[in-house]
Amino acid sequence: MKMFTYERVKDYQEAVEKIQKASGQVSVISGGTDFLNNWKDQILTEYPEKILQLDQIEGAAGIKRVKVSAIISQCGSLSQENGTAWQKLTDVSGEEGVSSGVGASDEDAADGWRIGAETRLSELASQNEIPILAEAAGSIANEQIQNQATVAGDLFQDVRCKYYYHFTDFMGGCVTCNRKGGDFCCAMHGESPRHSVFWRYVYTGLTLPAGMSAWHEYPRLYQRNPERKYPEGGTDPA
Amino acid sequence: MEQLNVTINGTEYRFAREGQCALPDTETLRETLHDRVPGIDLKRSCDRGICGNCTVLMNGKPVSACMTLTASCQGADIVTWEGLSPKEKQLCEIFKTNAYFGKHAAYISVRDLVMICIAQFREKGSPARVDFIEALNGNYGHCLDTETILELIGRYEESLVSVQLDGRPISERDDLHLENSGKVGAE
Repeated sequence: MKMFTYERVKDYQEAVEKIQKASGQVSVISGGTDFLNNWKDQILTEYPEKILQLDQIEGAAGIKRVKVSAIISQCGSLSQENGTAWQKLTDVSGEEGVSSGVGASDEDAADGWRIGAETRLSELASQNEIPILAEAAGSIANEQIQNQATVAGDLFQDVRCKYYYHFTDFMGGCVTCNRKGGDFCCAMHGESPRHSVFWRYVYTGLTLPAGMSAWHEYPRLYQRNPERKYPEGGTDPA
Repeated sequence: MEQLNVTINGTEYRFAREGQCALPDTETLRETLHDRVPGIDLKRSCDRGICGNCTVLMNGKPVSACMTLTASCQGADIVTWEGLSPKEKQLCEIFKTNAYFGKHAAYISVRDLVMICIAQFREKGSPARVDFIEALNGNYGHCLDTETILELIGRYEESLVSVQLDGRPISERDDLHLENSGKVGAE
């Protein structure tokens, strides 16, 4: 196992500075349950030299009611403006937006919820006013893991592919698949297609039901193999 | 010199983060408790946060010690199986002696069940049945079903009531449940 150094940051700005200054690879964790599993099983090809934990950042945790309609009306149509709209959304809903009254937590005018990135899953599971999210968070793993894992870490967790999680210890070693810098996908050509929940016929074994992180990964994979040939019936999402 | 201050079972421990015998950043809380703290037996089981054998209470909430880095526990208050009060240890005994599956004793750890139940008792005083069912969700790999667990918790609560009634310490009594039920029958 490769050793790493650990550090906990109190600020997003501080985290960015430390990532820029670091010489080797830096990984960012919040709860750390997903990373520790990968690290112990030795399934990765590259390991970080430094770990930054973000779970104590001020203001990043917590669930509160906000006025969402004001934020969206300022941003305009998300589909038309593409990338800039998301940037605006994050700018407006940030702390500056709250102080200027746009995203203020006024109970009467509030029509939506703001869930912090570092909110623990147990906190979301006990929020009975958002029943569908509470039920979803409460169904994850067990009580111990829910007390450690965070919402952002859950959305950005690693893929849940059986081939991706093939251990080093036995039966041929870990698989260097598409997700680890290789150029093939075992879930597509392997014995079972059921490892892939989304986009089985595309090119990657994205088995994670949390769709946000799946979309997050598409551009990177697309650039890696631009001339890749897809199986018959497959489509290109990009 | 940089130090790591952790309170374990009421005792404050200071681990060095620099120097020759520094605590490595990669060490998990389970390894620290098992290797460095005397009197704590926290063996490696699955080491992946699945089985719940290494459940400890950190700041009153149950967490898996194998999935926690010790370096992240600065200022934390940790309670292990060994650090429970004599009253709470009675729940351990009830689970240990009654965890049967048919004729066979379930010789598997019930630490996670006990620690989660005790976290509920400490947080809420007298939790409802729903609280236990929700909190124990994901921990039913013990040949024990929900009704059995709730029945064992009920026995524990009965034993607490009887101790409050006659005032004798819980460690001096052999079988609280039978003794208590006998009294009820006599009346």
